Amino acid sequence: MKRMTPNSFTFLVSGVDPMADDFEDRFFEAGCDDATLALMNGVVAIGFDRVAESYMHAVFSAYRDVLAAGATVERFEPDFLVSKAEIAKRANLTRAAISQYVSGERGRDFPKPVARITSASPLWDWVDVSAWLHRTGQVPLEEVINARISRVVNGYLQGSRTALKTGDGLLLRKMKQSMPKLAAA
Amino acid sequence: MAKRPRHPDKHIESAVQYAEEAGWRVEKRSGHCWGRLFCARADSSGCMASVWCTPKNPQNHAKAIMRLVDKCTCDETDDPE
Repeated sequence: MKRMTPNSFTFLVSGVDPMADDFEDRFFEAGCDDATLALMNGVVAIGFDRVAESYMHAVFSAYRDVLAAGATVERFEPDFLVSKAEIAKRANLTRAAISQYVSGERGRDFPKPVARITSASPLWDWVDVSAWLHRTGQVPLEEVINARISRVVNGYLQGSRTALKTGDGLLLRKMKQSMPKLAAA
Repeated sequence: MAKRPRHPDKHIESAVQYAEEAGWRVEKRSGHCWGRLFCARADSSGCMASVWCTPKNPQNHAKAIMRLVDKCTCDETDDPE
């Protein structure tokens, strides 16, 4: 049975001029009439509220539509990398509660952060965190499934984008030349 | 200043007014895009939101516009991280 609740997510894109006269038309004609187009912090954001069979169907069909409009997808949000504040917001818990999980004061084996670890504001992988919270009955399974979709999409974008950026391909080749084991990986 | 035309959908019109009350201005357009909303920040790093004439779901579009207005932090100086 088709879910009538819209699935909400955003694609950050490049390759389109938000001030061009046909900016909106090309997205509308590509099927993005269930999206809201915006420019924030200098980045074009295509925010969808798409009704579909599943979150995955909504995300993949929207990705296809955005490409059909002639845009290049740079990133998907909600991101899978989250700060403590973001964890609290998504789980509808207080920051204090999350701090207690992180420190081990409450709960056991809360996932470790995966990025910016040596900084004042580390980031966690929402796939791991939502799974932990699901096991303690605090977020629905759906949240975990959607987290994985976010990580897959951004992982793919990061992988294909980074390798293509100017200079990165050359650097990667040099690394592989000096480290044969890396080339085999 | 000339009064702008009202959006034909009451939910979207409400959202446009919400944006205006937050200091955003409306640039009326033609075609699928009814108009563009620009936040109070005048330079190129300011926010913009496009309003459809006939979105698939006007209520969702109106909510999305209001969410964008709420998210605009152009007048804040600190990162609330």
